[in-house]
Amino acid sequence: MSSTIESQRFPYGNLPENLIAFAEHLRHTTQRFNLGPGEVEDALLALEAVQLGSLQEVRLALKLVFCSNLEQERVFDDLFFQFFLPGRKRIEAQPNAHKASPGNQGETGQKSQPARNNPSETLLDPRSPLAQGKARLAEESYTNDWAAPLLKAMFSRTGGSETPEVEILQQDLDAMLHAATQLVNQVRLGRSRRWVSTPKGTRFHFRRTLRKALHTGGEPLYPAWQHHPKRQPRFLFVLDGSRSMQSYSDRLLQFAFALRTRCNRVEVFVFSTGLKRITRELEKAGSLSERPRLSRLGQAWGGGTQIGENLLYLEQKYGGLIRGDSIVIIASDGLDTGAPEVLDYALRQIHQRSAALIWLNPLLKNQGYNPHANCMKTALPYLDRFCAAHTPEEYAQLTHRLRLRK
Amino acid sequence: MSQAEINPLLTTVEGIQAVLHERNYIADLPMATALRLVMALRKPLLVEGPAGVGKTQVAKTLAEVLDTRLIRLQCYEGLDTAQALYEWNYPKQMLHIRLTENSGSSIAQREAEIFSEAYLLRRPLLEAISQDKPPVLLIDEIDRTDEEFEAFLLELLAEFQVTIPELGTVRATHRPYVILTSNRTRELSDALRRRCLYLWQNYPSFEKEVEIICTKLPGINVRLAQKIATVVAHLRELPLNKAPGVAESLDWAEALVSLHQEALDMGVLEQTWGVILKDKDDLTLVEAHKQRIAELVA
Repeated sequence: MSSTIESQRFPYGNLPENLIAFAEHLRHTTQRFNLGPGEVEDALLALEAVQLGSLQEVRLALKLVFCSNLEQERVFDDLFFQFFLPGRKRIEAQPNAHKASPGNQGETGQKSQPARNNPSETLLDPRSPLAQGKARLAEESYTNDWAAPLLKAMFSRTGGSETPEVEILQQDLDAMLHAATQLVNQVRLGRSRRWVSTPKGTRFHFRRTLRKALHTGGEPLYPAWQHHPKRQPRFLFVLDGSRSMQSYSDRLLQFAFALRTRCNRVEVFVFSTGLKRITRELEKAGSLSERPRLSRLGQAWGGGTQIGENLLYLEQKYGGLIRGDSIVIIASDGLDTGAPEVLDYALRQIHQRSAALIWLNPLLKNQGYNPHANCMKTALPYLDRFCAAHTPEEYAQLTHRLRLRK
Repeated sequence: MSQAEINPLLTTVEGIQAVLHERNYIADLPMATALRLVMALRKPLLVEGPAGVGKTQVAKTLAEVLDTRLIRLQCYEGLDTAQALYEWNYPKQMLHIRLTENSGSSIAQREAEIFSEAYLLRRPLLEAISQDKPPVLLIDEIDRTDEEFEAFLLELLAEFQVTIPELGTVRATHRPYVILTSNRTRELSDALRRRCLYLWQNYPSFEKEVEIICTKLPGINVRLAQKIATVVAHLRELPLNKAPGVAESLDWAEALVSLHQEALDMGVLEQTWGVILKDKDDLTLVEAHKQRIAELVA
């Protein structure tokens, strides 16, 4: 949305129109406020309940109605001031190009830049490790002139604007599928606390037993049972698709494909300078083509490595996928260009939320390799397993006797 | 009965702050505004934040302020409708079946009899929508439940009605004031969030924490309260597994008052770490930052 055009139209003649325009403005930000007419109606009712003359109360009331998570809550104030009091604007909100209306492109004469999927600094407090780490990195690159072109080169993708199609390796695919099955079956998460009906169980299902008893004069001749179902594990596979991982990525992608094929509760992400969720692409690749391949991986493939930032983005954007029954597998060589503070913060969060955190480092197979790089040193305390896997048999052993924390 | 009839102060944000303060709850402006909107819009309020910042307490205080019942549903993994909404009184039903065995009524008739309100055991959610006076319904730690239960809550939170297959739809006689709390151990669904007002309750500022301590423990030395707030604020900046909340600050203050301590020193601090730090790794970490803490205490 063009701010010039918006400012020409704004303010409107009445409160509802202004609120509708504000809701529209919020929808087009990177935080993706999910607002419909119901929220606008609630906002109007909320403004009736507070003092309209108090800017603070109006802002707080709108924040309570329009925000639905912490990320939105943290940027709301800036968006509010940016919209209603442009003179008091504090930070720029990133326009969300994916959701921006196409008509706006013509009016400004420029195409909107796609919103980067790196975490915005505005998501975190300035004292947070992310903000501090980023600030330090920026400071270092500013004081060292030589660092800027190097960083640029590291963050850029290999030539061309489009990543080539990535094909799923066919060699040993059957063995890898078998390994994935083994890996899933090895996980023992115990039983859920829920009760479900089963022909045999440990507890009477009273309601069912009673219904059946109606047919036998109140005698519970055919008891129904309940038991606790087994907890099914979830897997979250995060694959480093950067240039330094190129010689290992084929096998890792094949493993991701096999795991997704064998288990429904699998989410797969790739990252390089950006992060991309490829679960659906893997599903499609498997069902439509005899030679499954992935395309349009963009910044998530073949570029430099920002492990910490991408893991933090994963935790913040897709945190809901990491639960007490999730096993997170990160496959990376640990050659990171980001600040270790960011990685430390991200891994701490992932470690706390998940049942187990596994780091697959292909370099571990190399003789003489020691995880002395900053990234690996930071990561090691949070890992439940640190290993390498190259053959299907080794992949099958990833969860063997793995001790789950939850 | 409207809030204005209960207490005219409840119709303004400042009034709500004052009323809560009378009951020793220090509400900042966002919290007071949230409660004002809960009363005006009758929408559920989802309060997220770290453990021990007063999320549960606000529901208790609101019930006191409104002079109404507090109905609490403590969530946990495996919570289902039988524990949250309703259950049938099976022994009573069984007895009825036996007694009416030779009554000549059909199975359908007998089924309708035993699955009627007389045999219904009301659990917190059903209880909350069947009150004569709107209660405060506290759904505590919603993030601990399964997704299935969260989905089940949607009907209740949007329409204030629940559907019991055997009885039909039960609508709320009076809409309860609903407060949901979450420690963010897992992400809640967008559908649930959209049905609620949202408030992020963070750790209090230094000044607010001192005020809370002094309000809850009127006899405490203000300087001691300030030291407690300073140390606790520093601890929260460390990457602890379990950062101390306001509840821990209050426990610590109470412990120090009980030990007749008028000031903080490292000796007392080391004796009472267990009141605020509940994790072995955290104790080790804090040990490494002892020097900085000693400076703060001094």
